[in-house]
Amino acid sequence: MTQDKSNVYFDDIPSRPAPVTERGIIAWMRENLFRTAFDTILTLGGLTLVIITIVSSIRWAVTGANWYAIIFNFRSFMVGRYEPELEWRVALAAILVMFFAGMAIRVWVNQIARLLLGVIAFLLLMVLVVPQIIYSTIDVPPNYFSVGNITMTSGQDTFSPLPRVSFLAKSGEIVTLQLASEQIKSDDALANLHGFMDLPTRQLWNEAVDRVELIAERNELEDLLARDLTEPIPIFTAEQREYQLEQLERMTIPDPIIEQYDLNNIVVQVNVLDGSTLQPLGEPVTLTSPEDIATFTIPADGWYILEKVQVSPEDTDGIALLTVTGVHPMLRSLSFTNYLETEDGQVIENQFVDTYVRMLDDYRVVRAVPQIDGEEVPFVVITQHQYRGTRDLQTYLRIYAAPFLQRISGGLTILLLVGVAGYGVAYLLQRTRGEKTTSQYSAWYLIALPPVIWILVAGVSVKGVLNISLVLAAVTFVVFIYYIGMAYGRTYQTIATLIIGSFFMMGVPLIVFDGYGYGLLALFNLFIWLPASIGFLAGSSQFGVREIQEIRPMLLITGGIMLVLFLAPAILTTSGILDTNQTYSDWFLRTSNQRNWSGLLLTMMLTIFGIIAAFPLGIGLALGRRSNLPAIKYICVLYIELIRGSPFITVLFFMQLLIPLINADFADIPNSIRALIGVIMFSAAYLAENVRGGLQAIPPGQAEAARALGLSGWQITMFITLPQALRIVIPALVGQFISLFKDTSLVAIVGLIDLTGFVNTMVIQTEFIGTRAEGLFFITLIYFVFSYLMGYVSRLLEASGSGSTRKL
Amino acid sequence: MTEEQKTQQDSHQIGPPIIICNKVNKWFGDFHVLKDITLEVGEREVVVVIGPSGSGKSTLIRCMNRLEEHQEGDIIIDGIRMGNDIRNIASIRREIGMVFQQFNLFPHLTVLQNIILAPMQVRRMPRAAAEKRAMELLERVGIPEQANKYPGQLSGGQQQRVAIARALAMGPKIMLFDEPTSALDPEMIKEVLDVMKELARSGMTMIVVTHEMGFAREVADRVIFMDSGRIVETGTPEHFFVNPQHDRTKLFLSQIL
Repeated sequence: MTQDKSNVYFDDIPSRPAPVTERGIIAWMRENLFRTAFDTILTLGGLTLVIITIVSSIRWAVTGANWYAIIFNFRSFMVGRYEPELEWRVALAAILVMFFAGMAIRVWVNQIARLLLGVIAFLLLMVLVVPQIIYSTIDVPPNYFSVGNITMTSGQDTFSPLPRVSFLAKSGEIVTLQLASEQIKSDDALANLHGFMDLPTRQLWNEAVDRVELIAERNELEDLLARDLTEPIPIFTAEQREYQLEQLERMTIPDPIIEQYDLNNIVVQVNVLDGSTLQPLGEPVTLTSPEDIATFTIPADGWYILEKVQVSPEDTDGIALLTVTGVHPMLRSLSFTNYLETEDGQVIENQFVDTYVRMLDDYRVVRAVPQIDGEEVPFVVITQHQYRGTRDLQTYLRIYAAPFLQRISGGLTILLLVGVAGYGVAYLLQRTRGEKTTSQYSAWYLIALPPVIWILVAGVSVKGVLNISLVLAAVTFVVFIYYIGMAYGRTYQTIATLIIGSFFMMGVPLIVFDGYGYGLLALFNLFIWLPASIGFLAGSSQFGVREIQEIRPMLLITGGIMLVLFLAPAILTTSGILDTNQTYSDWFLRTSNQRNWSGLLLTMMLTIFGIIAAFPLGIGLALGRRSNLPAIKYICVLYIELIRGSPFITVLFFMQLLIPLINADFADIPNSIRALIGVIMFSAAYLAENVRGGLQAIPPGQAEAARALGLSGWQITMFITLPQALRIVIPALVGQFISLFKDTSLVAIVGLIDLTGFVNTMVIQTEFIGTRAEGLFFITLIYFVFSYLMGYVSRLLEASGSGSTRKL
Repeated sequence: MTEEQKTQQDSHQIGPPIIICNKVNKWFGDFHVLKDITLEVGEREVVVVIGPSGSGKSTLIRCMNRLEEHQEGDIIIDGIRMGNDIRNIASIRREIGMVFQQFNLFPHLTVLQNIILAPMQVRRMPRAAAEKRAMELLERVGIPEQANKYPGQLSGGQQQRVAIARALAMGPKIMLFDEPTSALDPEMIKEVLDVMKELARSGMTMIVVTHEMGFAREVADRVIFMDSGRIVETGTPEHFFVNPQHDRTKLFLSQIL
């Protein structure tokens, strides 16, 4: 039998789908999580760590943390000491950003829109519906007030139950008072007390807890000593046993607390008075037994006074515990109001006023605390009337979660809806104008956003406009010189023009307009001279490319614009039409005091404008470092190495403390702006190295091909190498931007109150001593959300355009 | 002789010298790469440069558009002397197109953008005109449907044809080819060579560094054999492949054919 080895198959084998490899969750887990013993150990170990971390933080957040610190300081976290009357402009800036975010999602990342819609719906549900559900289903934790003539001591403090406390209530709410019965049956019951308690109640509770714990300790020790004798191997040595017996001796158990104080063995009379008229709402109610319940219905919103006194026996030091509903703890805060009409018709405009806030539902009132005989009736302040005892999830939801969600509901709802509106507008634009135009509009919007944000947040001063005019004059001067270079080439006349021109720009303002008010002008001109020279060189390398007649109109136009921009401010100020000394002018948009920028606002301003300014500066430094001109090259190397060789905090200290010593004029620059300059200087050096890395990764063939096509050096950089280099280093750049964002927290050390700085400020407030953990937890969330978003945008950028098909 | 053949021959009439190299010498450090290269290439002439690797073929044509700098001798392109003057170099580069072994397309730009970039930036051509011309060129190299793809999405042969179109977009008088098919799969070499043949027939002055002897035989007006920086032998393809004179040439041809 012969076998033909050269078989030819003519039958085409049809394609078929790949075999199904999915074998369910168990198979997946076995393959990925528990493949080997080592994997199993890693998986279980990792899982344990994660669970421990999450569970312990949640337990702390639910049962231990005091979130009023965040709720109460929410505004300060966001904008800090920013002028409250200008706050709407920050809000407007945030709205503009959200609108852009909505548009961008429609235009560039449509695939996540549905997911985002879910997130938005969830958030709206969380802030609008959930608080209401919590309010209506979960009862406020119990309130305990004490009554009596007793004077208690705790350490050096002495205090006694207050006969009158004032509180805020809304129309229709019901206040009930009742002698506590269950809670005072035994010391154990007293120690289990949980809820808001006034100072004497808290003292009782403390003593009860101490006593219960002492008893438990004593029992344990007794038990041990007993076992020591019975068990075959003794637990203690003779010496230890003697010591332990001594200890046992010292543990004298006090009399039961309820007996010590003879709790609830007095007759109590209670009443509720109207806060403004001081008229009682009804007849006083006498409480003698736990069955007696005093009930008062609140007729209108406002202040009320709870009166509670011991009526018999009159002279004994009695104390009773009352279970109270409808009286909630509050805080007084200094808050700003744009417009307010008080009850007596007085109008308060743009002032700080004392605001009283009911913590449990954010009910706010600016009317003062009621007075009796010229003295304020102490109100139920949260610092005195604290939550004590175990705190379960329901209580947490009722007293912290719901008020917090309600606190952020207004702002969040508006921002989310604006985002949705942006998405909708982009959708309509795409329908009517086409996708390309829409993405162009979005790009223009993005470019316009930073200056608009700056103008809104910082305001516009006469000085600022003149500054911008001068900067624009400088830019047109560079363009003008570029065209001169292009028109006349490298001849001695144009070099003379350049020298005279730079002298004009540098010297004339100093000589003629000395009253102009700029100590920095000379430095500023230095920044013109260098770009102008480069512009000239660039222009002269283009010499002969275009006819001189073609260039002449450009010369006239740029020259004219330059003169107008340069001379107009000078004429306007010297002739007295504009007053530069008006620092906080109401002209157009009032300027905010940049020293007041704080909170998230400061963090974001440092980040946004740090990135925007550091980015071109970093690219310039990277290109400079690769330049063939030794002067430029070594200046760039020196700058980069100097900055990279010093810690960020040093740069910040330098900007904050040393710069004013170098020249007193610099002290006029607000500290936030000096920090911003520090951030820019620092990031630019690192950015430059990242960009340089990208430039070096471009194969030399790219530049060769471009040169062979006749492109000039600048054109090769702008169109060929730089775009490719930047795309390569997107991950590194965004990493840099994220660390810039987080590094802004270091400005807290040089005395600025950014997000991190505010936590330090917060814990100084007497109400919130010891809430640093809560503050740090909260800002960590904020930092994380923004960092994550930046990383997400970076991944989108990497995959866009040629990114998915890149092959060199 | 048919009309077609006649015009073909007319368009192939070799004109006056457009590239003149006179005793060109170049060193890489101490290494003497080009030794007294003297060469004249006439208008519409197709010159194929062959030789073993390291013989200086690529360096020679890279000197012609100043991607490499020669240290001695003169290179005169279309009457302009190659010197240190930037403006001369710029105007020479505008007249010379170059195609590389590794294509060197710009990966971040689409095919169309690759082609219109230089005409718009260097020749200041309006976008519409540049795009129209780019589409004509893509038509000519046979891949108009790929205009809006990125180079990474094309095959090697397609990429090289785009590179040719990109060089042609500047309207050069001379085209330099630096081993244009060496990085291609055998299947794709033909499609690139076809484009080059068409270009040669249309009367373009071409200098081609290649190992494609079939191409040299079919298209070249003249073949130059280089070894260790020297021009060893030069002649028509018939002379060169049928009756080489120099021993070195014989050895090379025996190894390669």
